[in-house]
Amino acid sequence: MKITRRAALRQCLIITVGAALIPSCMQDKSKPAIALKHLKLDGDEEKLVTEVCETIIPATDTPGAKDTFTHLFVLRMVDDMYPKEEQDQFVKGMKEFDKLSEKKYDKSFVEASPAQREELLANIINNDTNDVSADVAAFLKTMKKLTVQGYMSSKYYLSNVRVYKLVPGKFYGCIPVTSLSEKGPSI
Amino acid sequence: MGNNNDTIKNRTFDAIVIGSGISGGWAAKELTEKGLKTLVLERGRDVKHLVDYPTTNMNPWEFEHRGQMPLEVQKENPIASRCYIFKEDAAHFVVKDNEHPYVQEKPFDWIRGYQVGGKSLLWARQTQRWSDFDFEGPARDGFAVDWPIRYKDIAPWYSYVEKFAGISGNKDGIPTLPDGEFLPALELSCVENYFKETVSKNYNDRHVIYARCAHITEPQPIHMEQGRAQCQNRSLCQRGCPFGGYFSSNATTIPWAQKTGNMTLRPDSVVHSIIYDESKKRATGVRVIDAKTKDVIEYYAKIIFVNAAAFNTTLILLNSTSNRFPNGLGNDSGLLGKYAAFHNYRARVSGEYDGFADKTTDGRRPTSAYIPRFRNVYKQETDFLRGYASGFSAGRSLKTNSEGFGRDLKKNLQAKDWGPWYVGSHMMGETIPKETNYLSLDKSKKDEWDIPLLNISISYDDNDEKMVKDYISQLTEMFTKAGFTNIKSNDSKQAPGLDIHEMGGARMGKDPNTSLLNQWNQMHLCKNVFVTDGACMTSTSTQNPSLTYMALTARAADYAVSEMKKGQL
Repeated sequence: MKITRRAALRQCLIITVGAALIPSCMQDKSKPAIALKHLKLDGDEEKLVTEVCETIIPATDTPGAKDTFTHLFVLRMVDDMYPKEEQDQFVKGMKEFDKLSEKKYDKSFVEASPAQREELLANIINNDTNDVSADVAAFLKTMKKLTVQGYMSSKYYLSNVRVYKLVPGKFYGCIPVTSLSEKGPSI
Repeated sequence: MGNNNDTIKNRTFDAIVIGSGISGGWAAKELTEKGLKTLVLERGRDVKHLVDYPTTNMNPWEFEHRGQMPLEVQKENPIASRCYIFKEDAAHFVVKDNEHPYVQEKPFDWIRGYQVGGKSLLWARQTQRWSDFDFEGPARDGFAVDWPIRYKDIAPWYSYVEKFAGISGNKDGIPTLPDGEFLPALELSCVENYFKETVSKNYNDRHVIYARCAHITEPQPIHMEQGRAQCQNRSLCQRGCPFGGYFSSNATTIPWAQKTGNMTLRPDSVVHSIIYDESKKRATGVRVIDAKTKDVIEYYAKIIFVNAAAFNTTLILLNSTSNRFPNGLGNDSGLLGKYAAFHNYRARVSGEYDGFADKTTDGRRPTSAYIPRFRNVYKQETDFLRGYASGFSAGRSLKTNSEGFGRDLKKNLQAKDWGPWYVGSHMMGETIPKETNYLSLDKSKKDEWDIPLLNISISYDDNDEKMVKDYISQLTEMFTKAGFTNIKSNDSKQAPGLDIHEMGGARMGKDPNTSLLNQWNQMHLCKNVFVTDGACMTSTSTQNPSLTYMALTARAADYAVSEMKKGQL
């Protein structure tokens, strides 16, 4: 049986199609690093989205949004999953958001320091009714939702935080919580 | 192949099987094993076991949209998008809305799988036997028409197909759900077992059992001979299984038939109609439209098994007109297409449980628990006919806290705090087949193969509405008695069809005036045509129907071949 299983696996490995996630390397100002169908973002705007992602889930002693390619997932989802009106609002909110940074720090969000970025986001999120337009609020709400989704379904998260097993083998119906390893249950 | 040899001889077989899904695969296996040169026609593309499962070993993060279908695809496919299978990992096995349109005289979500293996790649793999409480339903309660068979007729064939397919289950000793040939059951969770105990304490006639399913939990020699291995609890079945852990035509019956050397499999073959010869008073073959080239090709055989999946089988029969049968093959009664039915899957009841706080499950499980029908079993006790079975499951997962942002958010997302146990159930209601729920051919609209579109006119009735209410009240009561909290119920009001258990159209019965097929699934009026898929169903009962199709198919094939040998066919 072991041989059958191994043979089966081997055959499958040959045909497995892994989606290639290509990290952005050289971020030219005018050229975006990811091909989008609907959203029209230049390289700077893409970088803005990337840094908002990273501010929502920063790299610490563990990987953050950029390390887990979450920013690419966010762009892909906004591009493929949202109706045009919401995409337009996303872009409008994004541009307005950057202006808030210019106004407060005299520099764009991308140029601002990590501490300033955090402060700006904290101010908006904590006072979301004050000073912030519906477009900015919608932009940040979408950013947060997709960043969390992307991070929680990233290879890093599903290999280290909540461990996904492609081939779980046995199912245990009733075991003490304490019998699980530090990594918790496999999902 | 290849030399374009087009003589009639090359297009003549002993048997033709239309369709390669759950029942067609079984017809192919049985007929080829008995030595018949068999042509298997499949309207969709070929899907080879292991080879054509492109997503089977993909991890969640490898899907571009983590499983979701892009908005444009959803907009183009409102029907397919309502089906839980239509996700990034298996959408390639589901028919897109524009690939084969149909007319919805009333809303009906017709979910189809056009490929070798059909929907057997995608099914929920639940395999509960019928009992005489089901077969005797129409006669006792006065609807549809009496089944021409009883449990004793099909019981040995249930055993026969169960052993080959590999069915995991417990011998529960419940009269309404006969035991079968079972491989070991997987574990129930703590809360499922707890619910089982409280239900049997509170009710004499209600049971919670492990849902029998077509998974190899302990491979037997017959499974290894098929090249299948033990189910690894991946619960990614809809992608096609690299272990052959669950039953599909692709992993099981089709390669088995292939090995006999007697099968010719022809994908991309849309069956237009069955050819009837008035002088011979029998069907002589089928007319096929090549799905790609649109060429019309005729194939001939002594017997024909129609296994195109219930509604497409009915469509083919309705479209098989001749001077003798101007309204469709074998349709003197005018009942072909009528009494179509389905399962009522509208309602769910869910809740939480605070007990077993120190326990959990680990891993995944490709089945759940099951509550066999308890309503109106021994006598009529409600203001609606028949009843419902229910799926039940209870599991637990870590809480997700997405409060805040930055380091706080990250800490929240990495926390491992246990949530409560979640419990959930869904109803599987029997519906009453009626003359007013019917299929017909559209008078003007045709598909790209010049075949009339199927017109579907099926809706819920008052009996269904009452049953939804009863299911919600009874499950809520059972959950309450078990001490579950936060109990919620939901009636999705979904259109018929999403159950993917469409049945009827060419029902079995004793009398040619009131049915299309006899007790052997043989057309009363065209003896060399057999219909053994969902179209044959006289009533629906509550059980997932595939196991019954398998058993009826093997039984009919055995009968057909023995009649052929006797010179009767």
